[in-house]
Amino acid sequence: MIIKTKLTDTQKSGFNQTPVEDTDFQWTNLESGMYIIDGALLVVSSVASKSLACTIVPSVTPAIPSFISAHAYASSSTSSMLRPITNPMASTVSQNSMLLGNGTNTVIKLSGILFAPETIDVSFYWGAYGASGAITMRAGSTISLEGPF
Amino acid sequence: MTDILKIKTENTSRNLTTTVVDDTELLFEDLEPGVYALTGYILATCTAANINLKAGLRLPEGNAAAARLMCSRTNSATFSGTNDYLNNAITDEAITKSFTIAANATIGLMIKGVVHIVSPGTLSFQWAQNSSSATAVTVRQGSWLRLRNNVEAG
Repeated sequence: MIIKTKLTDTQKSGFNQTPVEDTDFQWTNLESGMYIIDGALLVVSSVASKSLACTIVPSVTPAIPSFISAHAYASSSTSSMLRPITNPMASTVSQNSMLLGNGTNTVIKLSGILFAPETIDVSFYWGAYGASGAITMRAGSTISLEGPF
Repeated sequence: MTDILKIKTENTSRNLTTTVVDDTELLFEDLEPGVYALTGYILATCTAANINLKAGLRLPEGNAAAARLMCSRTNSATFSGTNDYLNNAITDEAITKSFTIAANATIGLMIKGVVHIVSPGTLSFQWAQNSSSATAVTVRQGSWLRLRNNVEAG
C-alpha cells in the first residue's frame, strides 16, 4: 500500500477551475493489476455554493472499467458522486465535481478501483468549482492505493 | 490480526430473478466468532432503468442483528444528490433492500461496518434484480469486501 498524506494546507481560488494535479497525491511506476483506492479529505470553503472538482487520472486509460466514488459529509448536507477513471479526465469540469457544504468544514471519503493495464503513473486532480472564493484542502488529507492484486 | 480480502475477478450478470443468492466471490466461509471491521466497495450496472439492484450482507445463521453497516450509494447518473443509504443492522434474514440504478449508469456502494460473529459460519454478499427482467443487472469485476479482526468476541 502506498499512502500519500498532505503535510501542509493547499489553497486554490477562482471560478469554475479545471482540476489540476496535486503534487502531494502522485504515484509513479505502479505495476499492472488492480488497485484499491481509499481516501479521506478535509476541505474548507470560504464561501457558500463552492464545490470541489476532483478525480483520479492515470497515465493510461484502464482497459477494464475503473471507477472512483466520493461521499461528502458537511454539517449542512451530504452529497455523493461516482465517475469513471479515464485519461484524459472528462472534459466538462462539472462531470468531475462534488458539492461541498456551504462554507463549512467538509470531510470527503473516497473509494475506488483502478485496473492498471501496464506500468502507469497516477495523479489526483482537483480544483475549485462554483462561486468565486477560496477552497482549502487541509493537511492530513490522505489517499492510499493498495495493490496490485 | 485477521485480514481477509475478497475481490471479484469477473463481472457477474443476473436476469429474470428477484431471489437474492450469494455472490460466490464475495463470501467469507467458516468465520470464527469475533468482532470484525467490514469495509467494501461494490460496483453494479444495468442498461435499463427501473430494474435496480437488490442486495445486502447476510450473516451466518444465529447471528441476528449482530452487525452494523453504513452503506453510501454513489451514482454516475447524477452530479450529486441524496443518494445515501444507511442500514443500522444486518442480520441472518432475507435481504430486501433495493438500490436504484438509472439506465446505463453505474452505482458504487461504499461500505463500512462492524460485524459481531457469535455463531460461526458464512458471511455473504447476496444480490439479485429488484424487478425481474430479461435485462441483466451486473456486479462488476473489481468489487471487493474486506474483514479485519483483532478483537475477541465479548
